[in-house]
Amino acid sequence: RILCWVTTSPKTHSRAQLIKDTWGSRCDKLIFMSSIQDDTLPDAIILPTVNDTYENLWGKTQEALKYLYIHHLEDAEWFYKADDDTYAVIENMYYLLSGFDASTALYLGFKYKNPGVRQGFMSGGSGYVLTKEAIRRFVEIGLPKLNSPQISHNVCVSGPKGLEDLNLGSCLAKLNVTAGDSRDKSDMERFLPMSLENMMCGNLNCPENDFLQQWAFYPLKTGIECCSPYAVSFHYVRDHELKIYEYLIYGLRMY
Amino acid sequence: MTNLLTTNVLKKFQRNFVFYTSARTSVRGLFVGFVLGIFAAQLMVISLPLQVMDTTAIIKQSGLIEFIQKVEDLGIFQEIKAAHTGDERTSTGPDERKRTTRRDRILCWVATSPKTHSRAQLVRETWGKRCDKLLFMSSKRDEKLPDAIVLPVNDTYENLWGKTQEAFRYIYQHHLNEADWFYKADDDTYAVMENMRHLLLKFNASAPIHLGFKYKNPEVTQGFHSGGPGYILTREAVRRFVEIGLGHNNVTNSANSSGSSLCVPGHAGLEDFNIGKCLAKLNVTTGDSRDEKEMERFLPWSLEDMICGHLKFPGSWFLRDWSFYPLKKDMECCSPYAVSFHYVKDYQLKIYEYLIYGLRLHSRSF
Repeated sequence: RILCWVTTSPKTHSRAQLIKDTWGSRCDKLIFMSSIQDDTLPDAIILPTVNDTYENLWGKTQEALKYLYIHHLEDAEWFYKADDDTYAVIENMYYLLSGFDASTALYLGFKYKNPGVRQGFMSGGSGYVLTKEAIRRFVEIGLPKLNSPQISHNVCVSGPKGLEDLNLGSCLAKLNVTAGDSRDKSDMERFLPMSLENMMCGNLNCPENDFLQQWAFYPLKTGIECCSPYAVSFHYVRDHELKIYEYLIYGLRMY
Repeated sequence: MTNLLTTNVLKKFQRNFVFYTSARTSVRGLFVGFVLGIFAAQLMVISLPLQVMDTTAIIKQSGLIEFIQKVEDLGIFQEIKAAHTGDERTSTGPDERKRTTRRDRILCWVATSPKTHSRAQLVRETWGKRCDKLLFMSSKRDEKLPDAIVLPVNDTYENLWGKTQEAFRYIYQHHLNEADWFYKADDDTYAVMENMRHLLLKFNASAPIHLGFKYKNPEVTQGFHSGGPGYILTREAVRRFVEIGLGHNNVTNSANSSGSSLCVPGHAGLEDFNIGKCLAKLNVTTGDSRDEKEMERFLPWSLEDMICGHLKFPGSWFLRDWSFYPLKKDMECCSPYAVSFHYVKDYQLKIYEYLIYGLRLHSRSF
């Protein structure tokens, strides 16, 4: 079973409804993490004591994982984090996950390389999936060490600030949670961290793609080969575009 | 030289044959080999003196086209699409397709212009390659589009009507017998050719009809079709349009240029409205291209507007006010068997290609 948790914030609560109307309903459980509840999103989970800004995303992630650990650890085997401008293809996610052992300490996503994290870390943009064990270790071991004043060196970066995906990756690596390889049989990526246009990048001028080429853990192809036929998630799919993807992927049929 | 031509011709046939055969049985393979062998032998005989002989002419000469058409009608060669097990997105299985023996030819012509020749190339690399014939109509040839057909029209938005006239005239003169259906598209159109073929099966290819997204208009009772997602004419419709509508025969007989034409004269005007008006006078009927659930297959506005337009434009909205049939909202706007999308610009063409043809849905078999 997959539990999907979507990070959103008051300014973009409208996207949450669009996610509910499109891919979100295919998750076994769907939770929205924000800083307030309002009419647009009355069932948002309010995360405590976090200033809801981009700089504090790491703090938000910590609180979110803590919340999941306390309330939902038994509701699923896999926990998928997405942004509110992510479009996920849940059937393909089941297909991906069926090749891994849910009882291990594992996480999956689009892998970046980084000198500080030898096994690489997963991009937050296209989302990542953690096993129950990965969350358990993070909350039981990683977090206390983070907040304890007694420990001289922290396992994980303390405080709410910082790049949430890099910090999480570095923390999980220290906790011996494996960063898996989520590519398909032809080595094509399934989690797509940049907009499809930038992933394919046919134009000569794609600085985002250059960035990807430089920091992707595995060698990356351009053009239509960038992206697996069994892609699992797309990023920078905003507002009404969510419905466009929903139509093109699930609505349109080929005779 | 002889060998070059033979290989070229064989390559052209290979393209069609590979599409139709998947070497499922060795008997079929043998059969194909036999046919190709005979053909190659024939070619040796007619290939001297060589010059630049039109490949099509040679094939026609040897009667091979009719032969293949007959074989196709017998349903021996079947379209074999990627029949991925566990792929939920194709709605017909190979068995259902076996029964579809009629395969009309579609000529696609794309209206483009020098500023957007790069889009034309993207069309060619994506959906354009699925047309039986693909032509680009522009005002100039350049490195980006070296095979553009240059029309004698001032290439501006105001002169689109002139471009349409000249394009059909060109097609009438050079390609009328190469296809059964003639589809006009813009260079920011994305067409799903398989769904187009499915749509066309419902109609009689020898009738004078045209299809597309229908707008209503007081001057054209039967409606006219939007130029954006494109419209399709039968061969008879094209013939009437050029011969009678544009007064083509009168024009070519220079002595008898009475200048009579049924269509709006000159180059200026709304091309889709003008052609719709003219075709109506020529008794070319507008068909209903919606699907069984009355959902539209040709989508004239961006997908975002088609799906969410009712939220974006609560007041008066051209699409809603002028669409011939009642417009449906949200996901119902658009048929699962949609044939074409508009305002798909530049790189979005590749994105649509990926999302429609590349991405697969793995079925949940657990």
